[in-house]
Amino acid sequence: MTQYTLQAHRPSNRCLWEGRRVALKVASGAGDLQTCTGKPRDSKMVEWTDFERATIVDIFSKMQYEVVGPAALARCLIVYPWTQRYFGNFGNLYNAAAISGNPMVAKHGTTILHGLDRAVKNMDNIKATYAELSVLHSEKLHVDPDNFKLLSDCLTIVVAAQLGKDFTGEVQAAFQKFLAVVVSALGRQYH
Amino acid sequence: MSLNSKDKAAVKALWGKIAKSADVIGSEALSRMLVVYPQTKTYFTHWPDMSPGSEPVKAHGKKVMGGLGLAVSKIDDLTTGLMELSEKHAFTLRVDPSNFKILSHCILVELATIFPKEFTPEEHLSYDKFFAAVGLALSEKYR
Repeated sequence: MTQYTLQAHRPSNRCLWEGRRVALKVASGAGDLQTCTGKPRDSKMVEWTDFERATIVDIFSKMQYEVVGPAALARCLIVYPWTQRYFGNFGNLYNAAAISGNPMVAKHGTTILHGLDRAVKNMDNIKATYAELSVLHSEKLHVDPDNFKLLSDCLTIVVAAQLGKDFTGEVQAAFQKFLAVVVSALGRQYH
Repeated sequence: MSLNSKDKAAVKALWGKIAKSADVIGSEALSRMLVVYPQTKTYFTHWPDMSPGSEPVKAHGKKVMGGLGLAVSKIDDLTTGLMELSEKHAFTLRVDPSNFKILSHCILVELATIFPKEFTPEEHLSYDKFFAAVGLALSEKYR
């Protein structure tokens, strides 16, 4: 009987449980790197459908960065107040009105949103594109990576409010997948 | 992170508007969830049709919003108020509680699309807390 073991140090191109079985297949000459389904896969690539690519490019081409960025960051600081820990030098964050009107929050929100541009332009290599920013967030800014998800959720809500009916389930799925890939890349260099 | 009086007031204030389109909101939020988080479809394989806007989805969205309306009315003691629903989810439906967060997120997104002006950061905060509290009350009887 084949033994499946949880592999703590498996290469990322192997399935969690299937690792050993796939390894055996490879050893017997079944071919190159294989996933659980036996299909060959370039371990670096996130696969994007045409719809997903088009959706992401479309959303960002129409994005009002100076509106959405500040709104998303302000919302994050208001809805998840513990995130304020990273902005001690931003002045008045005492209540929702202060946060929403804070010019430093606005400026930083816009900066963050433009930071996503590089992912939009390099959708096939987001991991490498964000390596440097990941080191920055980990080594210099010391941001708990859980916060990336909180900001992503707030950004999703702000974009949903902007697009209204156009923010369909399919569009939301594409947008959230994109943000999840960015979040994962940003968390990669933490140790 | 329990609900303070400000949260309860915020929830009740927007609920007035939500209740008027509750059926649509419920159906849309549920449809959204089934598309964005396909793993949630595993709970509905007994439906003849799981597609967005289908009859079973609409009916179920209405049911969910009814439950949330009950929660709003029992907002001062959710654990007691939702005891029966908790027993249903724990022993009959056996929905993994991680899905409460997923559906909550989809309802928040739906509220943002339908009420872009009213769904301010403050309302978002209070509803996020409210849904978390409802999820907790629903999980009460699980073990």
